[in-house]
Amino acid sequence: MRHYFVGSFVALMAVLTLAPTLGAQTRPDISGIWRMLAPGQNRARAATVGAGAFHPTLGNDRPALTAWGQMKWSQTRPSGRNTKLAYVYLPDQKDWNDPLFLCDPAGYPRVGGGNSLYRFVQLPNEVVEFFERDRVWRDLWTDGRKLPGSNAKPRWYGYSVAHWEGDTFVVESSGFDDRTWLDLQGSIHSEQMRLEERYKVLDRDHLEFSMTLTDPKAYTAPWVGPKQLMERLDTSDGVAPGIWGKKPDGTAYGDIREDYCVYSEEHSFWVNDDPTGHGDNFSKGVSGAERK
Amino acid sequence: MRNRFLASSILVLVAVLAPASVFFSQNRPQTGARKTPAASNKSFDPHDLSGYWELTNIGRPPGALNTISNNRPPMTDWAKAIFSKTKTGYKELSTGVFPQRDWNDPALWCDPLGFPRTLWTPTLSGMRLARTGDEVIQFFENGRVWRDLWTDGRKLPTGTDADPRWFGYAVGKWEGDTFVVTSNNYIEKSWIDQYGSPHSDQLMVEERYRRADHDHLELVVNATDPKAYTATWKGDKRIFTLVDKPVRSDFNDYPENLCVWSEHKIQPKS
Repeated sequence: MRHYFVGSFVALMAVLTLAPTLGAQTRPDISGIWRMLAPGQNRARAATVGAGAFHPTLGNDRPALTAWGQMKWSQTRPSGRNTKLAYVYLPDQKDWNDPLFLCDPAGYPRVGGGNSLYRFVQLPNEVVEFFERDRVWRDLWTDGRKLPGSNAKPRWYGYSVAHWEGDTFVVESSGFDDRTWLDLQGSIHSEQMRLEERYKVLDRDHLEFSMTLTDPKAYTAPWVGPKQLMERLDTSDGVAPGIWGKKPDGTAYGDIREDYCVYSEEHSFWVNDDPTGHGDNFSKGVSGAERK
Repeated sequence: MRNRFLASSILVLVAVLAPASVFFSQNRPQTGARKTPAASNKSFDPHDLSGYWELTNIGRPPGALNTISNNRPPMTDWAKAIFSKTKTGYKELSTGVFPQRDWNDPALWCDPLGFPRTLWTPTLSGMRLARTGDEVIQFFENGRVWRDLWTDGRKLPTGTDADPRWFGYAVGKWEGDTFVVTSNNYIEKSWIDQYGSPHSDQLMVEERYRRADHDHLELVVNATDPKAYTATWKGDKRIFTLVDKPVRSDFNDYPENLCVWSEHKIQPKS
């Protein structure tokens, strides 16, 4: 009887000891700073991320547009020269109407494009996703709430809920403001856009990311993005090294940079650094949709 | 043609004035003191500030302005030169009342508000605090921005390597039951308030948060900037109330309260 009790106690202690480990296996913690690598790249460094004429989250394989989508797309005048995705490329910047040149909100998923880093923080009822660009965040709710209906007020960054499917963190989003572009080339979307993001945990330092866009008002089929690798960083390379000192273990304190689109600076940039000589790209003071 | 021009002008004027009036009408001085709230009997952990907090005007004296306090210290010559170029529609703490066409508040063209201004512009802000192992995250409804208040032992950057930020660099620590946040390295282009109060890149902000009871959080903001002011600008006590969910929420979260330039359509002066 005594041995039985001791044995039970040992078994109980073993379960308690292993419980955190088992829990960690079923619900990985993706908290940390992450860099999205370009499709097909393995452990590439920052210099190559976002380079080239592709959007790093959805890729070039955009499905055919609907008639509504075609009409909306035909109004875009992007600065991006990717001929497959861009409706037209006009050499004079005065003709461009990318809403980012007015510092309107980038919205999601565009805010994650280029070389902007991501940071995830696990909170009790959500995972918060922080972006360097525009210092905005998304709430990825894991508390069981459902996405709002079609009458929800559209948002630049949408509404998001998330759950775990094994080792994959799945985020579903809807309720997007249709004024944003998806990429530098002017890919459009409607307010019916829904996104599914899948973050598969490969190991402590690597995630496999993929995104699928479904928007029956704008596209004739889902836009399935390529699988991309995300790698964990101690800190952003956009933060000057050493400014926070070192942790006791010698590693850097984590931080991501503040990367705002500042209208007054953008304005000066375009006025003063105008290769075409046409000057003030903002003088009419109207939004992209009106500048056609 | 003339009528068309006139109609267009009216439309443009309405488009320009409407957002601006909305933007600023919510920032009037207080006309009467609000009573100090009754203490809540609910138990609470004074070191856990987590939750959604709404900034109130509770306890503020009549005439209290939307800034650190009405008692702004005298400016240095450097700051006077900066301040003299500001133009607003306010008579309090400002350089005078200017017609709207001359206002040059950077918030009008959606430049980042920066800290501490985001606390009280354009509305009394909703603020959420969340605690993790190495920081307190401060989410603001205004502008949908956040700040990291690091509690992991790191020190504020003091060298010249740190790029100035609109929301600065911040660390926090507990002094008894008061959470003390110090921050620095602010971009000096931001205004401290809607009255045009300037600051320099030497601005150091101290925030002192104390949970008075379960439902109320006190905050005092003190600003020290020897390049801009001859003394520390000592703040009034501000009181936040705890709410289960954001008052203006439609999804039990913070709504997007983003400044969208193409909606404002107010052209800055060159």
